[in-house]
Amino acid sequence: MCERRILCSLVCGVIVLLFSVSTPAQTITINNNLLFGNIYPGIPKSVTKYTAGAASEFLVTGTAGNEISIDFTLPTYMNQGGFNMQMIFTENDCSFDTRATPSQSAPEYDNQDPWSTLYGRLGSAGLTIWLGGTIVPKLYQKSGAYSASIVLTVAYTGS
Amino acid sequence: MFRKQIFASILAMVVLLAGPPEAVAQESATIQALATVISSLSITGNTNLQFGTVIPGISKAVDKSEPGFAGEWTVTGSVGAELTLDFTLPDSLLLMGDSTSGMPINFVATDASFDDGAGGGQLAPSGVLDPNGLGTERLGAGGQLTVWIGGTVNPRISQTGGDYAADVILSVAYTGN
Repeated sequence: MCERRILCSLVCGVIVLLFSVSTPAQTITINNNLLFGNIYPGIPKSVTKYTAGAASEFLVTGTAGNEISIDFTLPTYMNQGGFNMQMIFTENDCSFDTRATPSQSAPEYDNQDPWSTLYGRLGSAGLTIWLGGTIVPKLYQKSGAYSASIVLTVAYTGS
Repeated sequence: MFRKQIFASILAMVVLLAGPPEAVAQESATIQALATVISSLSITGNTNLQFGTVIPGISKAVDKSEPGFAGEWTVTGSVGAELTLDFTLPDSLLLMGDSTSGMPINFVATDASFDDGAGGGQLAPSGVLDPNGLGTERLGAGGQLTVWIGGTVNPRISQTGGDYAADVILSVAYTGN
């Protein structure tokens, strides 16, 4: 009788251990920076989220079927040696796709607002996110190579 | 025996309390937005459009290919960049000191020219521009474009003697192409 109790207690522990294995962490792979190329002073330039090789692209992987939250930290200026250049991200500048074969030109979830928290469920191939934007150089914008950081943060929601 | 039961139970509880290995709550990644701003356009007026002495009642033309008399500008910017050329032309020169007295001036469609470095300069420029319309050209391999303009003044028979002048403005801007 007593041995049964011990055995029962151990089984409980084993079961707990089995069910406590954590969900694999999500990972982000950066496939592409947001590239504007050459800019003429005084002439705004946009890169759409559909532009392969120019729009920024992230791939989030993790446990298929789990929902994640997606948050961007977006810059308002690009910088170069103390000079800045305005950046604009509109509420339609983001898209993402959870399908096995994601399509940048016809994404599953289009016109997403990068200023808001977005939610998506990881697909078998993860979740691919694209982001476009616009820069507005001044008429006498200082020439040179400008840059800014765009941070993407994802987290499981538990759903 | 009883102690073994207690030990086993405690062991189970410890396992329960220990909980799962910590899962990574969130993940962040940073990319760069990158852009290269090319140099701004600059334009310099090199030579005024000079008609010299004119005789009342007799029109006088200055050709765009006449060095020292035709108007001349130099535009500098990014190599190969496309830009618009927009002339603001006067319809008369005004008597200096008496802005109510004017002498008509006109510009025809072939009165301007340009050289992007691929031509032979003012005497054999790369092409002709119509100063009455908006032109579009590209800066040459040296990032420069030189523009010349001629014109014709038409003094009246009763034209008041004196020095006449007016602004001839060339505005340039990148098209983004």
